Amino acid sequence: MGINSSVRAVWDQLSAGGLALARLFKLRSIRSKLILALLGAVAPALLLHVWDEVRCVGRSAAAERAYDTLMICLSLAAAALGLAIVFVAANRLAHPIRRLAHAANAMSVGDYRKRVKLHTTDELQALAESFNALGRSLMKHEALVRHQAEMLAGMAEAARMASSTLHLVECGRVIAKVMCSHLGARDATVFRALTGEGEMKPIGRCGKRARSVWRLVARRVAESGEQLMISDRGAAQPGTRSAEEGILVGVPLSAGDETVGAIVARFEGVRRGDLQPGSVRGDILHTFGIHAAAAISNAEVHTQSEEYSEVLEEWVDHLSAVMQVADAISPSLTLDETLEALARATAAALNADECSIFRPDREGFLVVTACTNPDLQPMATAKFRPDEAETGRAFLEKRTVVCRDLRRSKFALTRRRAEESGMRSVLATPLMVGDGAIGVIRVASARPRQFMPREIRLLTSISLHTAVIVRNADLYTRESSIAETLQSNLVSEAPEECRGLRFASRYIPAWDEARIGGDFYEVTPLPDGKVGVVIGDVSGKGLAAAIHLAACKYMMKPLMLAHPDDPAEVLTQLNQALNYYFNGSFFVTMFYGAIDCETGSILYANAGHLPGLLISERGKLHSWLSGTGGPLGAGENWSYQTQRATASPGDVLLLYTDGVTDVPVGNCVLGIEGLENIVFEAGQCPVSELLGTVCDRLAGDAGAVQRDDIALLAASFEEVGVSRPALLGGIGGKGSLARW
Amino acid sequence: MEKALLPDGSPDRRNSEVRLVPAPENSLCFENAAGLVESAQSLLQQHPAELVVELGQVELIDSSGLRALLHIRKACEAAGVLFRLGSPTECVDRIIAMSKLNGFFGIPYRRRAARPVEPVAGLDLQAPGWKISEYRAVSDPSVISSLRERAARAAGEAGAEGETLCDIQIAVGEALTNAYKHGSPRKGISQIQMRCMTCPAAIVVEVQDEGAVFDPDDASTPEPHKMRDHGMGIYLMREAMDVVEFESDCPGNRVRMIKWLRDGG
Repeated sequence: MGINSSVRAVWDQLSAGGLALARLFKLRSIRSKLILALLGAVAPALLLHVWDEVRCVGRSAAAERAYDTLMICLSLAAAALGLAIVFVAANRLAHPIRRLAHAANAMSVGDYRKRVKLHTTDELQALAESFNALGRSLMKHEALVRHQAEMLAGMAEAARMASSTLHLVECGRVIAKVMCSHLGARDATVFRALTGEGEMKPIGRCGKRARSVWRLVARRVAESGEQLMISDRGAAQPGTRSAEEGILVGVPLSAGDETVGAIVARFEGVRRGDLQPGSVRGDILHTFGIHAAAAISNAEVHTQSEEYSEVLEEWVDHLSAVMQVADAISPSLTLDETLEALARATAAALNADECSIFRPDREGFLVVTACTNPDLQPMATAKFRPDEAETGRAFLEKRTVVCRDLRRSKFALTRRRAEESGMRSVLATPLMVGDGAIGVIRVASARPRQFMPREIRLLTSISLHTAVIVRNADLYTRESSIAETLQSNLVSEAPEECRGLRFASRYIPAWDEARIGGDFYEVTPLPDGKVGVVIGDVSGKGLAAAIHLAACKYMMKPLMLAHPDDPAEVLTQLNQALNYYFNGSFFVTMFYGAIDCETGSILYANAGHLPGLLISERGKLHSWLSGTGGPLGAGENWSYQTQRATASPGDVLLLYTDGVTDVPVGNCVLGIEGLENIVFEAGQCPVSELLGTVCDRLAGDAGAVQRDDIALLAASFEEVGVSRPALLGGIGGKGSLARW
Repeated sequence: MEKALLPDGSPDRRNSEVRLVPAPENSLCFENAAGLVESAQSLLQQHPAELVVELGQVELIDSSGLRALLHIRKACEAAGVLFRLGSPTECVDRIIAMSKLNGFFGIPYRRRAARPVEPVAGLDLQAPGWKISEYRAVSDPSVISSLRERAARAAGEAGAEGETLCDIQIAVGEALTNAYKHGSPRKGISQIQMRCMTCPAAIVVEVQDEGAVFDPDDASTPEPHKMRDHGMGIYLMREAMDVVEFESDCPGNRVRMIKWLRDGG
């Protein structure tokens, strides 16, 4: 041990001496160091040799021998010294190389922090310095890669947001969150620029609430479109450093050319240089701003479309309300029914407790025409002058009147009515036709209610519809009442009995009063014990049809009397007359039969009318009395032929118009076959009962709406030929039909 | 006239009376044929020597009537009673001749006059001048005779008479009987339609029913004496009329029959 430590001490001294020597000689390279070491190794032997030469002069042999022995010893010592010097020098050279190798190994496994410090002043020191520089640059590179990864993560997040259609506020929050979690900000707030106002509105934040200075930063960033960075001292006084100190960065949100807002974020513990535009993180922030702006625009479009869809929904509501109201206007209903349905639909559409429609009477009082509340109707039927109630005000001033609280109305009548009915708020709109008001539609609510502009618009559009309906209905009523008067005078019940024939008739006008058609029938006694039966259908509806019907009927009568034996002649002449007077402006289908009451012989002609049915064999056999020419009045060239059918006792002649056969049954119409089936099922029964059965079945089949007039005429041959057998001649074989 | 023999071949001496079976007036048809058979059988109980079915009043007979006569004849044969038809009318002669049963009933075969009427080429049913009458009825036996009479009346008005009228009545009667028996799945509810179209040259009768589709060619020439229950109708129709066409008008069948009239052309 003792020897070891002393050897080490000597070694150290030697190396220090070597080093000092190297410094002394300013040795800068390994080569010179090697040369020095070599010199050091050879030098003792040389010195010994020189000293030996000097001492050889004048010495004795004995002394010479002693001296030689000494010389040998000294030479050995010199050699040993030289070896030692070489050994030390070699070691000094190898040590830094080993250190460098060690550091290089560490770097190869990713530890770039290892540095090697050498003071050898030679090439090895330069190598170590280069090695250290390599380590530093690798570290920098690694940091760059890490930043890029961060940037990519941030971009991915921003892209995800941009692609998802988030709500605007949610989008802002996510952006702020990404700013904090991925980009190292302590606090972040996303501001949205309000269009045209230069105002910034925070739409999402992460961390602390934004202070007012943030908003200023955001506004400046949004205006300039450039990234902005200021140091943030927080609440601390200028000049003093505090823990709150950080850097405030404003990142513009630029979508295309437009800046839609800004992100303001506070960083702590980050150097300014790291956030500058151009630095890695600065660039990340910039790119993130672009992506975030896309996300916000996206979310905005989404939010906007949501808002639009809300508006649309409102419009759809509005439209469906109007549709409901339009549905209420069915041609099958009378005006009163239509207005009732309309009032109900309006009350439902406006979510009101009551809806009433008022119309003025001849004396100028307003009268309730329709009201949804049955309890209020008796009270409401009391008429009132327009100038003594809120509702009347709408009528007089021809504008919409809203009264939030009826109990505070200036009209005593309105206040009293409100007390009685419990209604608090009303909205009344006049029914305008041109410049004149023809009534008022009013909705009332039992609780105080602020009517929305949308509701007022809705009621106005309903009032327009209603006004048109009421006006048209007035016109229709006038015309249809005239037509009905004419029609009812022209088509009367057939006589129950005429010359032994039993008759029954039905006339059912179409439900729509103004659509009354030109169906008619007539039973007239003719000379020679005959009876003329006519059924016809004049084209057209309403007043015109009634007038044409009258013309047909009154022209027909003298012709029938003049030609009792020739129905074809009657129709031919009537056709010519109609063509002459009306020149084809209308036409009429007609069945005319002259019945010989004694024989049961039916001479008939049919001008385009549906075939008459001669029902025989106790209702089991139908003979069709079909057409022999076209409708009357449609052209002069039609010729008609008289045909003959013969009825036996118990037979029934059934005549009808197309209102019967056109009754809808499922997807089809009843048709002649359908009528025949009804008659087959009815079997044998008195004519009035037969017609009753037919009408009941028609009403059942027609359901709610009968669109056309229905006329039915039936003659029963109960009495015919009872006294003597009918002559059915024309057939060969004697008496083959005699049992008739 | 042969002597009546008992089944064992010995002459019958029990009763030598001649019994007359009164046939219904006018027509011996589908609806009353069964009644005739019954009355004949009740007379046979009395074991007369001879049974005469008096047909002097029968203006019209159809395949059912013919079958009834065959039935009675067989019953007489079985009972050993002589059978004779009394004063058959023209129509009875016609139907027996058509079904080639002259020998069977012991009626001399009268040769038919050669058909005098040439068929009209290209008959246009849509052309004006046709008189059309249409009928629709529920399937009921009473309706059949009524419809047949109406067709006969239309034919008479168009100028058919005598043998021609008889043929038309037989054919229409057969068509209607078929429509009732085979073409009415629900008796009393199913409907039968008839359309008669007449012009001076021809009469066209269409009968439509609601029956299942069938092949009219299956009705081969019948052998009436074998007492088959059906199969005669279509044969008689083809014999009696000049044109007989069958159409399937689903659901139902339609037969169209045309007879050229003597004075047409």
